[in-house]
Amino acid sequence: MARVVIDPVTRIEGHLRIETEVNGGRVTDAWSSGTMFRGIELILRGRDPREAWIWAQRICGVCTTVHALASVRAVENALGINIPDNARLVRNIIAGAQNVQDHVIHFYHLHALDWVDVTLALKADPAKTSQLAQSISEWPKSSATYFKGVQDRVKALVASRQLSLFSSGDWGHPAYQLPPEANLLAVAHYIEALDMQRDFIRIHAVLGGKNPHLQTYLVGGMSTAIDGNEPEAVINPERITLFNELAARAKTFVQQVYVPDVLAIAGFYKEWFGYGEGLGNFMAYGDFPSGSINDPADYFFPRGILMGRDLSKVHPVDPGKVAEYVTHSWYEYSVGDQASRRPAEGETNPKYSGPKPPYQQLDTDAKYSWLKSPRYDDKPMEVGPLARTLIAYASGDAQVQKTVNAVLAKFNAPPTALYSTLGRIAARAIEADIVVEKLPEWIAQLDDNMAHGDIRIHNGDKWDPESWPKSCAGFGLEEAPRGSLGHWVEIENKKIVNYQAIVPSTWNAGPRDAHGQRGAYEAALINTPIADPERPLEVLRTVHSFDPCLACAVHVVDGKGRSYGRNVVAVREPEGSTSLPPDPVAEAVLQGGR
Amino acid sequence: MPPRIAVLGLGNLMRTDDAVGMLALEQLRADPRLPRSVSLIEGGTLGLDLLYPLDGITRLLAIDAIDAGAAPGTLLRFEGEDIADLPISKSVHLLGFSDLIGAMRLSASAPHQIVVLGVQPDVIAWGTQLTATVGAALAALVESAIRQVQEWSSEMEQSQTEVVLPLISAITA
Repeated sequence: MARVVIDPVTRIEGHLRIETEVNGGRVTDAWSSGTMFRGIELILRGRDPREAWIWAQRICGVCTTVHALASVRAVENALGINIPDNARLVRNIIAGAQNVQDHVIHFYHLHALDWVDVTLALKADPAKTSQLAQSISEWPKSSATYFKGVQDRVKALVASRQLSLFSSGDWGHPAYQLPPEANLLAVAHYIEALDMQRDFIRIHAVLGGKNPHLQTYLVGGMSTAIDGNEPEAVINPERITLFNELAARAKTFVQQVYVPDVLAIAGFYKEWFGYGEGLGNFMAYGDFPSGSINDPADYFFPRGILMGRDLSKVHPVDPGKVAEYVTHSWYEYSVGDQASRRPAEGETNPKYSGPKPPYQQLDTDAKYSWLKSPRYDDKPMEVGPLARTLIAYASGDAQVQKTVNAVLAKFNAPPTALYSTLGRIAARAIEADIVVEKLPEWIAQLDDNMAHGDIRIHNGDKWDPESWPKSCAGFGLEEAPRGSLGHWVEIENKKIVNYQAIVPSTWNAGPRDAHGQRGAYEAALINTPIADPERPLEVLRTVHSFDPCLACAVHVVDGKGRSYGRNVVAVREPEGSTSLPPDPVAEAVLQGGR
Repeated sequence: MPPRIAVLGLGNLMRTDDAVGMLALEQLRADPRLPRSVSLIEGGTLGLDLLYPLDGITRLLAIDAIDAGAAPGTLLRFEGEDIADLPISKSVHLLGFSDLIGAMRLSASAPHQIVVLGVQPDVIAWGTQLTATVGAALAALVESAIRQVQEWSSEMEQSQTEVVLPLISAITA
């Protein structure tokens, strides 16, 4: 038996450590540890609730805007504010664009290299690559000359020793199964996706004033000026044309590049429909209101819960049943660490009790993560695109059913195949496809409102704190690209007295709870085959399939050539003879946690 | 594409000496010697989000805390081949500075010339003030940055003059 540790897990945002127990070439148990303390809850105490979103969105530099939205929704919920229709539409467009961009970046830039061997792309025949490309898509950039050019640029990068973003791959690993031509195709699209995401996210720069970290939210709506007769207004007919152009280009990319690539690559890795299954419980708060935020039944993404892989019954969601454990987390509760606490009464009392870095192994019987363990009705839940897709499918959403069935038919697979590593990847692509189709509709509604003289975008009725009750509490729920996100706020005497955020990656990457129930990553890793414990690429495939996002921190260029991007810091036999290199991340965390 | 110079400040303002690149950028902004054509870009801890602001930049000066194992406060400079020895990123967001440059090379949009200037940090734990050693090196870092962009700027003016002057004489002849 070997303990295989991956720390840090790269090609994610933030700090994640995975420890797995490997027996006979398979993972038999797993522990997921967030090695970075977030602490935004403590920063927000005592602040004006109207500015909470500005701070809260700094939880992450990648998800950026999602925390701003959850925060304004929480405060609006607490104060009983309804936002104008234009604000709803602008928020939907921003969140929809974030969803599509994030999914594209995840697939190409954070996940594809688990499946694509860049070094093999150099061996591909550009003419055959062209044939392959044309057989799966109409996308015009598909000539042999084009692929030859890409291949030459990758060759030049390799020759210059600056492999940079390709340097952390496990090139030559036996688990890579794509032919050279499919590798070259994927590498070409990796590069094209860089341009696509850069172009598309201009929607955020325009509607948010800047990107990342949009600046145009307001409690009560948005501060984005809208006026059909005003050339200087942020939203005017000219801008509507720009949004439509950006959305149309994104749609073409998703439908002609992203989706065909996912299907093509999945075709070479069908066995991964059989790994990474996980908890089998799925939750989505739902999102993209069609009218009031208080009518979840009208959301574009339905709200619901699936239990025990049963697609025949969608359970309702009661936000009051969300609670968090800290039994295995570096916090303490005033009510004792065996109890769970609802976020409305949540506590953030950090207390690091882990080993002093560098360390070989965490004591996983004790506390071992900076993430808490959120539970719904005392049950662990998987959140994210797969949860949303399954819930929409089980809720009878015709468009989702049609798309999912088409994908399943292509692989001759039953819906249960979706409970897997590949299922998560496919669900993300399906979702991007559905959202990118929806964007023009929201843009058209905004245009229509403007044409009819409806330019209201902020409700200022309760802007003045004098109009607020002495004390109130509320929550804001959202479907961020990575899954269900909730912010809880308690306001007293015009100030925040308590703030709690439960983010998607806490649901998925959290540790065990007081009952020993595993979190979603921990459950999904069980039974994963491991060809080479020195290079546990297969573990990364499943962990990356969740699109991990843990808040970001240190940024220093290392001039000595030490590689911290290496995935595996230790493959430890129980005797523990292997010595570990110093772990700068853990060191930083220890200093930060004091 | 017309030549364009940019200075990119990198680092986390809440991580003690890691902030040095960002703080240097602030000082550059206030420095009257900074050539007007030079763009200043706050990179913070961003990775690929910087593709957009860096689009079209032909000469890039990046300023950051650099862990080269030198004495804290040591001024460091990397250029050309040496940048290749900078590893992918110590930052565990995989998509760090060198990944950004790699991505730009792949899409054939990388600056023609890149210089990385930095200071060896002492402490990179939580903290919003530089340590005394690194704080003392900040002025020298700013001076080096000014010299670098002035040099580039005058080279560019010269090359423009070389193109423009014969044109003017051709027209006036």
